[in-house]
Amino acid sequence: MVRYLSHRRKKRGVSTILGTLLMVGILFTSIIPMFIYINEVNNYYDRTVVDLKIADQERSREDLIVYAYGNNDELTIDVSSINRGSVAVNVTRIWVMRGDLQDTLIFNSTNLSSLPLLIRPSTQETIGDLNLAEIITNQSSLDFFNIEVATKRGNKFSSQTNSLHKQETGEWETGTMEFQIQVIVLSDMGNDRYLIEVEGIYNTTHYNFVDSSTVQGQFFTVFTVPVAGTYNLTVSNIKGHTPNHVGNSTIVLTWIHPKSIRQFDDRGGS
Amino acid sequence: MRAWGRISDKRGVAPVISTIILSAVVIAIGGMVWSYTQSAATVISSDYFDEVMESVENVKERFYVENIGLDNTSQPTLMVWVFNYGEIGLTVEWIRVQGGGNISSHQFNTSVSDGEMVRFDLPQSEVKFAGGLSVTVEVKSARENKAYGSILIP
Repeated sequence: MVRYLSHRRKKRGVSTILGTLLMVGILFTSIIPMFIYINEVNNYYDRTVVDLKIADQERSREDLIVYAYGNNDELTIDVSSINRGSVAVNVTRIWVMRGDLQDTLIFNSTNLSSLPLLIRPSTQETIGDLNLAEIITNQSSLDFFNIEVATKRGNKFSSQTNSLHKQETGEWETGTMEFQIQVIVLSDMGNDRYLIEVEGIYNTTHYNFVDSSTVQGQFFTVFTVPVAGTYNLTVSNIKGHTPNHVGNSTIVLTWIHPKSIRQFDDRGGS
Repeated sequence: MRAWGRISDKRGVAPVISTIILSAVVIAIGGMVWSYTQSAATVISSDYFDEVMESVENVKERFYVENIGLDNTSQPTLMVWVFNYGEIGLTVEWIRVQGGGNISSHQFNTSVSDGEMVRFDLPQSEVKFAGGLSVTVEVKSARENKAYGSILIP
């Protein structure tokens, strides 16, 4: 009886051990590897999402200030880009679209050797002599061009000077951005009157009067001029019958520095 | 007494055989469960991997409408440039144009590989490209992502 019972106990032990071994085998060969694998896949997904967030963040940090301006040859333009962002920007394309949307020029690596162009933070690059002859109609009412710069990260920056207008005379003028000459005249007289002359390229002359009959002190006036270039500024006091020369100055306006300020002192003047 | 002992010996064979049979049954059933578990685990892992990869491709897809132009020379046609700035290729399924209360849809199923820009020509249909009309363009990829652009017809 004792022998019989001990036999039965032994039989039970074998299948229990076998069953346990099988369960352990299943656990180690199927369940645990599956969990490890799924965990790896989850990690891959998380890594991808983090990488994409970084890429999207870099994309949103791109900041280019673009100035497009025409050259004197009447057919070509230059495009200056200043990287004011904290990441380097890879310019891949430059778009030139006529205002009526009928004609478009796309400058990229296939037709412009300077592209793609890497612009590091806080640096400026200029791509010169983009020929627009193909889409210039020589009709002043149609020749408005919008210039945009596209980057590899999927951003597009419009030129500050859009729409660039080619006049019938061949001169280029800016659309939205105005070049400014700011003039300050210091005067302590109560009834001064000033004539301020601005003479620019193409012999364009602009005049302005500052009438100081009611105010004393510092007078401020702003000239807006349509194109970049060198301007001669002359200030005269015309209170009396004979204009009294106060001063003159030469001002260079560029697309990068479109504003300039000059101060003249007429304190103690006539 | 001898006879009893023989009977007792004969009975001694049955526990061995039953142990073998029981073990064989345990191994067989266990093997089946093992095999089933392993294939189930493989299938579950594989399906999960596929689902995650699909999600990864969905979130990785990046494209935008880089520009819109109008060709009015013969038949008015809207030109839409789509740039894929993501790391994987995509398929533009359709482009929908909305303007003036009308909608026109254009089927494409055109592939755009990563870093590539493709121009899509949308001939005038329900939406008439009249001057002063504000037109919105909606681009949908096969992965259900969308990009939008708009233009004011001069």
